[in-house]
Amino acid sequence: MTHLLAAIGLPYIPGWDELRPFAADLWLIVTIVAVLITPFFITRSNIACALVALAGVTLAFLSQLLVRNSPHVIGEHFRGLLVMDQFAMLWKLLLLLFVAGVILMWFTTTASNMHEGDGPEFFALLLSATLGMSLMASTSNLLMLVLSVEMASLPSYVLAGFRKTHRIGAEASLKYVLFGAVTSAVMIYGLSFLYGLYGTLQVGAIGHAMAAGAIGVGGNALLAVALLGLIVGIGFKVSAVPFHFWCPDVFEGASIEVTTFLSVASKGAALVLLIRVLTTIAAGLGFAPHAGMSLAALAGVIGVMGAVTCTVGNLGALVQTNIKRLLAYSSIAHAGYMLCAVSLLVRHKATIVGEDGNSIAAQAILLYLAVYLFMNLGAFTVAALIYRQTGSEDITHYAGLSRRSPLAAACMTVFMFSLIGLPPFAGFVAKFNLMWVLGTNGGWWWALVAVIGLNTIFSLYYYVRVVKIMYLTPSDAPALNVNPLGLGLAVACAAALVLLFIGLAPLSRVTTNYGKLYLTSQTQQQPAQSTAMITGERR
Amino acid sequence: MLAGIQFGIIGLQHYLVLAALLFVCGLATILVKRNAIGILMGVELVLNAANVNLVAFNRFAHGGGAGPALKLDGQVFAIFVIVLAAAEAAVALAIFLNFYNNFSTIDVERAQNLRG
Amino acid sequence: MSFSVLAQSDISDAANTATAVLFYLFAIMAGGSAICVAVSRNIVRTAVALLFTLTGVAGLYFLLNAEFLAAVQLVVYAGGTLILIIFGVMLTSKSPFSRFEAKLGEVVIAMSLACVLLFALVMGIVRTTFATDEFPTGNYPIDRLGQVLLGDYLVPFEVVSVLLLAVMIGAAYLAKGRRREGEEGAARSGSLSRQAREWS
Repeated sequence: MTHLLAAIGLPYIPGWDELRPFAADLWLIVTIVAVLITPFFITRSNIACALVALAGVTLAFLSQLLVRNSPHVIGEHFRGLLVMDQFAMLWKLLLLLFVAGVILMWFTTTASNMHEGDGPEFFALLLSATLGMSLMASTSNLLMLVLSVEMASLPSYVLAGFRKTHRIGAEASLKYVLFGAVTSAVMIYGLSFLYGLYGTLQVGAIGHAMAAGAIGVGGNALLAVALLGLIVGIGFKVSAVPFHFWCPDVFEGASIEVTTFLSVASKGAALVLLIRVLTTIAAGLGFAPHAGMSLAALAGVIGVMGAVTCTVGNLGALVQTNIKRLLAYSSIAHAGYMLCAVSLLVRHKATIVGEDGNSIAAQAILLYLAVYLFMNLGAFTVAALIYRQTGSEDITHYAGLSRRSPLAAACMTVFMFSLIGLPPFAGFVAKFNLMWVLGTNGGWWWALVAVIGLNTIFSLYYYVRVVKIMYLTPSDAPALNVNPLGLGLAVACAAALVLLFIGLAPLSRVTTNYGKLYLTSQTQQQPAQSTAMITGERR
Repeated sequence: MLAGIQFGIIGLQHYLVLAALLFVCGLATILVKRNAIGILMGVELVLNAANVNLVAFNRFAHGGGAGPALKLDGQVFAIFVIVLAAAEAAVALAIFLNFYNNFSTIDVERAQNLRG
Repeated sequence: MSFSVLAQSDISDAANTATAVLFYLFAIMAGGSAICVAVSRNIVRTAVALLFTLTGVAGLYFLLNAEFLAAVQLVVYAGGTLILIIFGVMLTSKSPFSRFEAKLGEVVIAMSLACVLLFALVMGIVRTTFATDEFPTGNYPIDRLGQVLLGDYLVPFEVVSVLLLAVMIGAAYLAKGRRREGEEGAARSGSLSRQAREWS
């Protein structure tokens, strides 16, 4: 058999060593297929598909958990197209945990309303988008970058408009797909210049090539176009400020579990991708200022973008009365906080502690994402439960919730206080850690700390307003009969936030251990060698 | 300004300038058109600009020479971009159709139920 | 292929001239119709102009020794994607000759922005010295392309298959018809149907 394959010149079959680290992604693909064939065996397929999807995500989570930090695992795989490291591992675990939560949430919200027979499509799309977001954490190649972003985006466009007869949903998906198609096309045009200037698609090799030679004035202009394209494409996914217009509309128009999914998974994946790309390029340049590429300027652009994003997000949230729009603006603000920390990654070697690529900025963002996941999942779950009962997403209808459903009101209070970043909850830890990391770098990063502090005060107003309406505004509306599973999910999220605050030490140990990025500079590869690695093994 | 370009011998920069023209036309189309399908056509122009760039860079700047050193990164990227463009067009048109079924128009100016 | 012989720009002046003539032919075809796409106000004309752009770009791929890509461009892009777009036009416009009504001010702003951007890009391009690691002319390395696609780029090749599956599911789901939920939802109780009716 192998002789035959050799004769026809099939050059490359990935071995078990290469597939093993990506077991979670393979499980996701298997689950997509399983979800699609489920309706052939079971008549009432929506619930069955959800269970199959949940089982698949759980299997993926477990198999990811079993991947060890061995030298076989950490590093480049599939001829340098994908990278596996601790950073990607933790993101994949968080993502899969979150998606499992979203599927549980689906049971409590849409399960009974979804048209019978739409389940397979819904979960296949949800899992495809998850696969794309999971791959986004592992890309080290421009082609894989584009593919994984599209893999995450295209199913998301459809998910946003999944309620076909829902006019607002149709409008949301139209806006989403137009914005997304334009930004991704501009990104691809930018990346074509990155390829043209440096002659490789490998991000690590591009960093080395940048260090190797100056490209002149014109080349610098084209490099600026390339980086601008990259920022446009990823900024859209993060909903960073000039590209954030889609976010509130899509979040309002999509059904609530899709909104939840997009708010954490899509933005988190884009941030993780940005961290991966920028750190790899910066490592290629040795974290040093360089003629060809001004890292300080890039850090400045991202820092300013983060500051503007969180300010616009918080100011926009002040006037919102729809809970989904309010949480959409809140998610813009939180993405802005995390973007501020991304600006540290390209700064200098001090942000990389030790020789193994352990980055405190990456660690801070992972910690933030881990906490943010529970806050958003919980807040949206409570909103969904109330929507199921009252048919309203308006926060004025939350009046008297403390009497109508004390447990839901208490959970929502926990989430709101945690989103502000108040002490007894994990949100405080995450935000404080982020500000501390920024502050220790001194310089103009203090300005970012000040901006985040100021924004926390702005955000106080609208988060507390929700709590105030729930507890202080009287209402004679009847008691709510909330779904016990959904309430359980919300209580679990609230408990997680309290537990993560109390058990901060283990959490920070985990994120510190996992805040390690695999950087090609560790091995001191020269550009020629690293391109030889990609292209030279062909025969 | 065009001192670097010889008009008789076609080189890399001729293709890049043409791609830049396609890119700019695509952006102008996106900005001007009110019809969602018109915007999608602008996106296709931008993607074609990127592809011309990729293939031209592969041909003139990063080909790797003859024999075993031959490199095809740019062309492979371009093939995948064509596939992505087709996929994106399929999804986008399905969404436009869905929007049309709900609103009887695909004029993006009419998409104002959500406040942006 | 006659085109690849013509593309051997180092052989003779005649070949150079032929390449130049073909390049300008295709470039004017692609660029000119791209401008038409931007300025045309009739959606059917825009689609036809786009067809010429795509064909012109396919011609450029021939000149660039990328024959396989040229074929893909013609088959997938001009033959598939564009037909899809024209179907979209037919299904969504009430009259086939519907016009875009763009505001004059917006057009002026967009066009001037485009000119500035084009100028900046062209300046950047002509002032850059790119590498000169040329692609071999002569026989097209189609076997190598296949090996690279299933070798170095095996992962994207597989990932894109999953992507196409997802896209097929999503597009088919959205495009298949169904009666409005407002009507059938009314039969079901609950607040959702109330809202659906309100919106419909």
